[in-house]
Amino acid sequence: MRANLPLSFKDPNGFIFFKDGQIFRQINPSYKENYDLLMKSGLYNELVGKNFLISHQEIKPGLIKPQLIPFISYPYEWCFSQLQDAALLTLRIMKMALKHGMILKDATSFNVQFLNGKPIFIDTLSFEKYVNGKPWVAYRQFCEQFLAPLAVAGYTDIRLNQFLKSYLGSLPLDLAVKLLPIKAKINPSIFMHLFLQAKVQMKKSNSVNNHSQFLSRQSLVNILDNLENTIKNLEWKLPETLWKNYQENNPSYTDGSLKEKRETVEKFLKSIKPKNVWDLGANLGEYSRLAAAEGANVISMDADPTVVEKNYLHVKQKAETNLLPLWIDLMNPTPALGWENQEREAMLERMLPDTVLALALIHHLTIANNLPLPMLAKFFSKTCQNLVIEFIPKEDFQVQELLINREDIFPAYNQTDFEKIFSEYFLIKEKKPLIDSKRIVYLMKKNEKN
Amino acid sequence: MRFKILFYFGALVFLFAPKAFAYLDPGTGSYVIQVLIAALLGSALFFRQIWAKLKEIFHLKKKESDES
Repeated sequence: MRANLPLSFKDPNGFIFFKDGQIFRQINPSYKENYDLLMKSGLYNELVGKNFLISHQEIKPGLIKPQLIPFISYPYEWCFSQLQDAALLTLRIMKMALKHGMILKDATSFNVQFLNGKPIFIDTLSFEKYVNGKPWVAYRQFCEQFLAPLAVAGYTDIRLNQFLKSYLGSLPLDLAVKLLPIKAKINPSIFMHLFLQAKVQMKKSNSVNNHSQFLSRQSLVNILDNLENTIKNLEWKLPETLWKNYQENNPSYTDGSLKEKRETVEKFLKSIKPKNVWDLGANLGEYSRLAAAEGANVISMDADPTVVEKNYLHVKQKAETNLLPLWIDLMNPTPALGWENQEREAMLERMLPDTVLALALIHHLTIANNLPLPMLAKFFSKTCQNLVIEFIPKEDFQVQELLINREDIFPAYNQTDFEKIFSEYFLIKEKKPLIDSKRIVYLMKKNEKN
Repeated sequence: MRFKILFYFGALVFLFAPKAFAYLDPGTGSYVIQVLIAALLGSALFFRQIWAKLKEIFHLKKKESDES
């Protein structure tokens, strides 16, 4: 079985395809010269040595087998620091390439993925011979894909980065400058790269030939240095969110019940021995880390970008390798995007996990978002084999909070019905009521018949 | 602050420049703006160097007067 990856259509120099569960990349003769330069100039070895570029095996001339990325993620699923690190990586690679007489011909954020907790460049065919005096062909793309969304997130609101879904990873510059406050405009670098560029873009005149523009190598390096400093200096001041308070003063647990919950989840995970885990509504990733400690590759998802940011900073600080925090709202998961909706995969079309953690989650879905329990059970049965799920009864403080200003239209939200509904799809292997709490943690395994 | 004022002055000169700087081919990327930014960065550096020189001269003078 061989299937070309639809997203490759944009590149005339080669394409990616899957064969027998492995990924390959064909390199067309049009790219051979550049590929040879990448390999022979020492650039490839230097980049791979620093873990900046994905390594590959050469199968035969014109065919390579790149290292596989376990889970593909997209820029509209990244928190601020993830996008910032991807931007800095792209610039560093461009500067290293320039030292070896090459440039990056694309600067799209989709060319960066996260592997072992760090960003890595995955497009081996993005390198091109540097022509002396030629400006950077990917400069505007870099500004649209990295600088603009980072500036808007830092100066205005990170939620505006959801626009990256609408424009396939970009934030158009004329839109970005409308979203930025005056404060951003008086930053000389932001002014130049975004405001001035947007302004120049708007003017139309055929009097200048783009190709006649000369930019010395030193000037190009100056621009790259300036971009790097600008991006390093951007920061996102974390707002105090609901979830932070939620964790710090949550009356639903005592110290004893929290400890017991932790031990229970740990015990369940040890019995499952998971390989791929999704922690849904992961918050700061406390339970994700229990799964990571069992050796699983963990995707730690949350709808709140603040906790995703904190989770990622923790990954960075502790150099954790098998935990990827992503900003994904389960009530509205990432859709498929691009040409024929096939360029970028929907969240549920990507590699599914064997195990799902749904801790302190379902009351948000059922009570706050009116999602019926049978639909939830069915969703989990399509997603995983093993389920560690916490049931939070109506008497619980958090559920009472959710019900305070609304009619209780959830007669089926009780322990008996919960167990009955989930038994349609799952076998309840173990359940553990937490002390000093009305919450119960379940270990479930998917029924054979489903 | 002084850097910023000089910078905006420089930027204004370019903004009101004849249309020679005003074309961008959306297909190939913004070459014109890069040349412009390189010039701005270059002039900022130039003014900064002059400023540093001036400071140095005044510093030296001050020092000399201190010593005398």
